[in-house]
Amino acid sequence: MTGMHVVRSLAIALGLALALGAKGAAADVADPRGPAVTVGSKGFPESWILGAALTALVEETGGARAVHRKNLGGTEITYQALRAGSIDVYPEYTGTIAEVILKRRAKSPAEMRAALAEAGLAMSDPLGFNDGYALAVTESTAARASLHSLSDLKAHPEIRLGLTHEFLGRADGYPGLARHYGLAMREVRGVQHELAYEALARGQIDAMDIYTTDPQIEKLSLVLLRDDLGFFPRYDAVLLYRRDLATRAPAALEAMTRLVGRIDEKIMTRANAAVALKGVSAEEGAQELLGDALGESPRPVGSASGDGQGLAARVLRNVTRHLELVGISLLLAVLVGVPLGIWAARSRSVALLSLGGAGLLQTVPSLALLAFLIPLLGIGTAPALVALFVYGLLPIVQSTYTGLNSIPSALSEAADAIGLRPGTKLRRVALPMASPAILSGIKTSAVINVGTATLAALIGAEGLGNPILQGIALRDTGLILEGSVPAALLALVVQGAFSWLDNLLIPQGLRLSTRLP
Amino acid sequence: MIVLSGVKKRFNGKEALGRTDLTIEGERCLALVGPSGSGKSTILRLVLGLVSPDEGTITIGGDVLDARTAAAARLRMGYVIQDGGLFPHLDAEDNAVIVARQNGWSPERTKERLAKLIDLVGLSAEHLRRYPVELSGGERQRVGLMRALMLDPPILLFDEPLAALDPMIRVRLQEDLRRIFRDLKKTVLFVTHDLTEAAFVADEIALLHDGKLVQKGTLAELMAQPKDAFVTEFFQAQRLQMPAGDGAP
Repeated sequence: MTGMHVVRSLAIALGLALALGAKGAAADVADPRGPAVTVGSKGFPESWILGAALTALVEETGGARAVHRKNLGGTEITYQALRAGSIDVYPEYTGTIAEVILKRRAKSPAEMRAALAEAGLAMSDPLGFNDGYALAVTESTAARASLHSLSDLKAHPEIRLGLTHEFLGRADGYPGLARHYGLAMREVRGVQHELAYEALARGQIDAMDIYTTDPQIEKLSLVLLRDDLGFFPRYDAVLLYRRDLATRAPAALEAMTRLVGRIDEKIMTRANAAVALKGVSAEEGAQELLGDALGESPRPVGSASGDGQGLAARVLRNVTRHLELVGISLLLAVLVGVPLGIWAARSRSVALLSLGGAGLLQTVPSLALLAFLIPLLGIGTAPALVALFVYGLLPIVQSTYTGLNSIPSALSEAADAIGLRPGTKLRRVALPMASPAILSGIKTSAVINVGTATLAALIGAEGLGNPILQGIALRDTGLILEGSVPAALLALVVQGAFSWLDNLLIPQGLRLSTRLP
Repeated sequence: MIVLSGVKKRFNGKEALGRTDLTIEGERCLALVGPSGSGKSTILRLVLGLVSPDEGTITIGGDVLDARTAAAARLRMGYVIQDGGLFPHLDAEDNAVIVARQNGWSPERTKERLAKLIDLVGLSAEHLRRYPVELSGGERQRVGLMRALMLDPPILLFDEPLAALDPMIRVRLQEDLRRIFRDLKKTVLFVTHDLTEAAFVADEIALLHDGKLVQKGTLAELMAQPKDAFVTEFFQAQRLQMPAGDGAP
């Protein structure tokens, strides 16, 4: 009876997950025309604004449908999404293309274009503004150490730097800067960019890397250190797009390139300030930008992440999406992990291989895993599900293996001796006896995945990570809470749901034995 | 009839059972007695086909036991271990009928058989709905006996079944077991380290020492003509007077 219970409950769970999955898939293909042009943007407001502006310009042509995959993350993830064809175009900077994407194989614009063409990509002429790197300090630090230029840092190795991980790793970032200026700073730490403002304001760091169009410069009264020895390359904003766009959607491409030469630093900084400081949406910021740059204002367009809905509707949608991601990936992890654990319990070599393999995968950082998956699966739901599946696997394989192996050998032998066939023994004896361990492994996976799934927003899979990432980028505590409070509650609900599942699935006889002394 | 001829078994290079010839007559009960590590449980596991002999053959009712025939052979044997060997997640009834259910018995047939067995082992219907943890040690052992008897196998194997029970319960179970063996005319192999128990439930005793069969016979025969010093020593250790007086059935 208990065996039937397990089978029936798994069947119900499977049906539910498939229904949810089908619903998710259906949403992706809702428009019969399909999205003709997919615009991407990186993980900061300036990129969102430009992405929204490009989307609006394409929609304005009337001939093509545009979708904005907003807030995809860093260069690596966004560029891989472009290579994989998940997006068609996104705003990028010449300095980033030369250093990060082409890895300094090309210097002049002509060389860069040729190198990009090999990858099936193209870049537009500059949009007009330079969003270069600079190091910023607070006014008081600048006064205290009389810092005006980067050369002045040489005399102050005690100045504490809080730099983005990307800046720390790029040749044209800190390593090159330190060499160029002969710096030997004592404390250099990797800090997420938006958190670095907070750290700077609180005096936990003294200097941070910053973009020259950053609206916070004015708000926090930061002093930019002059690049007196000319180290930083130019970061002219351009459109990076797939070459086939010129033939697939020429009108859309033409509409987007109208921005070339039209956005200067002033226009960009103003739009950045509106979004990052005044709480205006990226789409509204884009309208302002287009008005300033082209002297006109196309009809407003909502983004794929659907700003401008009510709070309750947004939270509900994000929670639903989050549950879909966690539910489907967990189900896959159970369907693979439990059989793998059973197999491992029977064969030593399989045990070594599967536990070792799953353990190894567990140690791959989530961002690295996502970056690996994008070339294979593009962006969106698929790579997020695979990543969550991978992280969910180990606890389930491990607990199934341990649960089966901890059945007393006398009982295991008795099952053989009384004439149970291997299949009956597994179904009626081994799995029910191991069920408390297996369920606790599945619970661990579920709770881990509720947390990890927030990262899925980095690759456009949305969920509760979306408001969190946007909130961090905008330094908007309300938005951060909008994602993190439901995520925390969800983790509690998952815990509760599993206590209920324990009662349903763990045979009564086993629950009695753990309660009695 | 179960016959072991020239059977040898080693585990991890260590001899668990030296070359042994042993016959268990049909419808008789043979007790395997000896100290820990004497090879008595090894004989049981060999007969069940859980391990196969390094040398020699085992026949059960004339059929040679091997990897191919072991599964079928087990269905003709009932097996009871210490504390009943019940599965903790199943109630008494589910424990008792698990093999019958696997083998496709109809609910009516199962129920009928169960009703007969409850009386036979001295339990009542309310015990059937209890989980092992809710039963006393003696009750657990009686459920284990029901499970072993469910398919009405001609052969019963017991591995120290009563070792964990307190003396009063133990005596009552010994009496019931002896009655059941004789009434049902089963062929029984009964492993114990307790000579008194062996003498009470079994027709004959096989005394084992260091993986070797030392002597086989009735308690009276063993006491009257001990084959070597170990037999005498073992009897004295169990506080049985030499030579035998009475008490042995």
